[in-house]
Amino acid sequence: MSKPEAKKLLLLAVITVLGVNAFILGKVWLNRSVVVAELTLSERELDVPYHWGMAKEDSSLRLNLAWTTPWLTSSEDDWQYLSRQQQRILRLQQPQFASFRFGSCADGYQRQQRSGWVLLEFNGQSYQDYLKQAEQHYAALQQRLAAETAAELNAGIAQDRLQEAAKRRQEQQRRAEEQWRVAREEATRLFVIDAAADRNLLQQTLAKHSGPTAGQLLLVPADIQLSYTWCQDDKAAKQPEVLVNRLAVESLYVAKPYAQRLPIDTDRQQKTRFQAQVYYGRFAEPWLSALTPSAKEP
Amino acid sequence: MDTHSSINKTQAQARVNQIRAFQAELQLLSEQGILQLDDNASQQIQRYHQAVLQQLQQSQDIDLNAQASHLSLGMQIVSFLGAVALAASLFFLFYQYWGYFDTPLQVGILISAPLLSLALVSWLQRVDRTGYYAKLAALVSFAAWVLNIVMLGSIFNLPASPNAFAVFALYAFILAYTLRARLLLAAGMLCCYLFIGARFGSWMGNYWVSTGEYPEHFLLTSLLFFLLPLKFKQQRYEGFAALYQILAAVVFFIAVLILANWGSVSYLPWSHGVIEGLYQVLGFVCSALLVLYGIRQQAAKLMLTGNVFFALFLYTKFFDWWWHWLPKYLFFFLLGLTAILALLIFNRLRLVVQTAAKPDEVANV
Repeated sequence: MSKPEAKKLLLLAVITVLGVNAFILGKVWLNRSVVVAELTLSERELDVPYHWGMAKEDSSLRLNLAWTTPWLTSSEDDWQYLSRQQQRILRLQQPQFASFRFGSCADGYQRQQRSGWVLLEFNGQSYQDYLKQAEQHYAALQQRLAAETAAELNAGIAQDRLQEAAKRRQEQQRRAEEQWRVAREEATRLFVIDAAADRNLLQQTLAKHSGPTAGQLLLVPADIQLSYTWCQDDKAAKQPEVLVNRLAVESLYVAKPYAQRLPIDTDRQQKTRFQAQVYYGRFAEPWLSALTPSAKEP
Repeated sequence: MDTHSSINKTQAQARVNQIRAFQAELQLLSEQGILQLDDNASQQIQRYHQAVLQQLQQSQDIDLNAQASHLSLGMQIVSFLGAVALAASLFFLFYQYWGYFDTPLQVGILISAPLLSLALVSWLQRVDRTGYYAKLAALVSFAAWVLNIVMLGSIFNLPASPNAFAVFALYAFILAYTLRARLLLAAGMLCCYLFIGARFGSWMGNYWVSTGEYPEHFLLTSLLFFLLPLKFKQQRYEGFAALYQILAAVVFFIAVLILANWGSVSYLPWSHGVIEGLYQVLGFVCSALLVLYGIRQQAAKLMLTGNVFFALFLYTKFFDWWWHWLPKYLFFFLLGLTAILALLIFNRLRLVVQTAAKPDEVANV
């Protein structure tokens, strides 16, 4: 290649580097110039990675957004209060579901993924409902355990069997208390409550949700898939369901000044508690604007 | 002599080989007493050849003998490994110290990394005649560019976008054409595949990350890349035309091979059996056409690609038809017979080609 031509190409490479960076930084600036939502999240909604401060090869920190969807069944299985923290299935109204234009289940639910929008609710009605369910479950369990104790005493069961049953109930009681505590103190309050391919459809839902119990609502892009349960079950009998695979932005970068404030928990025994101010901008892209560690509990 | 300045490295190497062959033949003829040149003519030819060889070596860094050729191949392999290792080193270096920098410094480092490496490429291009070091630096620069975009997206929490592949491809193509680096051309092509595939997937209503689940996303891009060197001649860029066509053919046939066996991953609204049948026919026809095209163009590697995929299509079909039905010894016996049949056909083709070929024709790919 001739020298002037090589020079021109290298110049083009420099222009590409500067131009693309300018475009990205300009978009970031535009996004951050308008704050459309401000959430005060905590360690309940922002997971610190397990290896934070311990990884040899990675000194940066990203906090993963922990979110869930409203619970669909009223089953009282013990595990539900923990597993529901990672629930991704969302029941939709027909217009919202139709907006995704999913094909038939016969084409395979795994391959039916669409880009869309979801309505996020922070500390709103969905969390209150979840808390209420957790409380009811706890109360029902207490009643059941008390009734079991009374029945066993009246039945005149042998002493060793009684001790064994008491021990089992003690364990159940301990687990129920732990679950109730987790629901109140550790479970995420961030819920995906609606989804649609068309953002305007969700604006209507957003308007409907205004009120004292609404919490904070915002629209963010996400990746939605046809739900496997919807494909397996009798579709005529229930509302359509989708699987919210992931939010477009699922983790937040923690800049150095904030990352330094988060203590490195070497023994991993106690969850690091903190408060983080998260802003969502014009293009629904979030950023961390403040992070304050909470005082450790005694 | 000045005519040698406009030829590419392959043509220069072919000229050197021609001179070496001429010298060897002349010596043989002289030893057998068939041709005896007088001293004056012999010295004139020697002086001319020496001047040509010297000029070619200076302008194109070609190998003047077989040992040098082997060393060149070794250097290519080492420079490839070195480039990959340096790119990986840069990647891990960023991650290792990333968290210790404030955001403005991070942005500054990210933007300056590809720019500084570009400056290094430019300097090495001037001082290093072989081009190996400049190509190595160019690959590191490409890695720095990928890191630039990925890490910028990471620190500003930007959603993943297929457009990133477009800018990766653009940068790789610029560097590939600046330095005539085939590895970067291949990287650019692969990024193009991902970008066009993702965009195509989005238009079809899918989430772009699922691009790889639909092999049809890659068919059109393959066709475009295959036709590109026919429309835009790549004579000045050694091996580029072959790379465009071979990589395009490989991606095309892999996609067709998948669709020929799993019709469910197609967009076509027909039954899986019909789709698979259609792609099987397409695979056979296209691979046979590629063999013929390779013979016609004297492009040995293209012909080989066509052969390999024709055999793959044939053997997958044999497997479908006979694996469960025939005893294994008979199945493999049939495979052996088809290989012998293929040998017979190729031998026949070879004879036809040799009869038709002019003595001065040189394979160009």
